[in-house]
Amino acid sequence: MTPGPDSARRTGRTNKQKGNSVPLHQPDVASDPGPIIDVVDLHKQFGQQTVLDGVSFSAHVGDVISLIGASGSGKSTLLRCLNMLEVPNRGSVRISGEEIALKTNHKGVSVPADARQVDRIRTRLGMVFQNFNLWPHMTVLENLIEVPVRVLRQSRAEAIEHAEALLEKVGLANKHHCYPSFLSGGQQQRVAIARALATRPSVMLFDEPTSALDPELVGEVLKVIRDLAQDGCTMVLVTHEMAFARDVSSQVMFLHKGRIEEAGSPEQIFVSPNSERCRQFVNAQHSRS
Amino acid sequence: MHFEWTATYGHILLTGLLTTIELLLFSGFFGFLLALLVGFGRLSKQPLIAWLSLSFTNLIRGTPLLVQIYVLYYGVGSLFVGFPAVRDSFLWPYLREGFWYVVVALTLSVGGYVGEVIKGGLRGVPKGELEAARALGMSRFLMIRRIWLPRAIQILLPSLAGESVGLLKSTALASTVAVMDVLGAANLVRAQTFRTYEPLLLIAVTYLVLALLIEHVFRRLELRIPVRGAL
Ligand SMILES: Nc1ncnc2c1ncn2[C@@H]1O[C@H](COP(=O)(O)OP(=O)(O)OP(=O)(O)O)[C@@H](O)[C@H]1O
Ligand SMILES: [Mg+2]
Repeated sequence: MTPGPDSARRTGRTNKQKGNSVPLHQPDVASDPGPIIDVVDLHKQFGQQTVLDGVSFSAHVGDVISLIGASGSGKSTLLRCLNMLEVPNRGSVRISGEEIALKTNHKGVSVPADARQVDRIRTRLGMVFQNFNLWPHMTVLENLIEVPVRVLRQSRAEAIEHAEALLEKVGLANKHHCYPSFLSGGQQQRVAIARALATRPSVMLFDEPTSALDPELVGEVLKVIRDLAQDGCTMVLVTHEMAFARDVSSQVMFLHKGRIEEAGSPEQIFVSPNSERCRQFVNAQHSRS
Repeated sequence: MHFEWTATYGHILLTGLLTTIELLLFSGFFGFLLALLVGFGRLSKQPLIAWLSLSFTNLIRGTPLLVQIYVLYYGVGSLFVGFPAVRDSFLWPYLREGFWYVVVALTLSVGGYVGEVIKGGLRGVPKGELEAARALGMSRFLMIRRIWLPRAIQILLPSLAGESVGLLKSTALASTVAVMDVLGAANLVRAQTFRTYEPLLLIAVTYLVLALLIEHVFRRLELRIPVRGAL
């Protein structure tokens, strides 16, 4: 089930930008808006275990795609294949039209053909992890300017200015000189989101950004992600927060055993799924919360 | 207790102190660089590199430092005498001195012991922090330089303080190959003044002060990055 380029683009998404404030994320304005992410027939095995079994999908500017599915269905693996944290055994990944070149090494394992290309493309994909993964030996501000200064070669002043604006946006302007271990989980995750935004990526990738948080801290992180979505930021989001997924997504994909079992608008997936498995999963999640 | 001999021998003791500090700094610096190689080597996926690092560590940790110093000084050192090319070279004045043999022996020793410590520290850095660095576009080399190594060292600072104090005490072995370090100077004073306890007492205090100084420096380094839960 590969959703075509125009299927299920959400129409009703409110792009209300809050008056005088600058958007968190400037959407790409390309003259030819081809897909930002274009994945074709992705296969991934870990040893004997097949984790991705032929996944294809694409994401366009402004899409918010939620990945849902049972534990072990391959959601994280799919997300991690997009930036080559996991290298697929077969299939192709294109980011903004550029295909990530893969080759087979002497051991017969699939690896990136050009590490520099992967590093370059990764700066266009902002990733946010379940466990935040901030660098504890750097202050919040240093975490944010590290990649812009060291990898993108921005001037320190420029990077700091952008970083301060991002911290303002995630509500942590007063924490710029704090070390991460002094922040709550919710604050750390908001810093991690700002850090991922600091390279001005074309897409944000979230892997269960609220799963490691105490329940009372989930809301502040979801609010930041929602603001991003409303600013038109393109994102792929792995989540167990069904209500949130239903609310912000332009498209929802239900993964089962390494395949996209069903994909469509949130209404379709959550109200009237075609797949029996999808229906069961959604109902089970619903009754859980 | 009599300390009037310090007037006559003071400068010898001061020179000895300087020599001890030089031994400490040279072998500490080069040893740390070697330890980095050994530490990363121990974690290498290349079997040959991993094996070489492990063998080196075992060799260094499995033999007494004093024996290593003797092997270098009397063994390798006397080999050099047999080569006129070496004897005529500009390096000869250094190769005759025990000092550089001790620096080499201590460097190897630090490489072996601290290498293993570094390996542990590198392993102790949560993988996710490294993954985040790569995921946001850092090259492997930049990730090592900016995240992995600094984090490992941050974790290891207390152990490294201990290793440094250990190195300080090991420098005292230099006197066994006629290097005039603090202990060598004290031995000279003892031989010439027939005073046993006062010189020894004085250098014991000297080592203690140096050790406290090292601890203090590392403590300052630790405090540079505040961590919640630590005092
Ligand atoms: N590096 C790895 N090595 C071996 N097996 C792996 C690896 N990463 C994932 N797997 C396996 O692949 C399967 C899919 O994992 P994945 O993390 O993609 O699932 P998921 O849908 O994200 O699940 P969850 O909701 O629990 O996060 C699991 O069975 C997991 O054990
Ligand atoms: Mg997962």
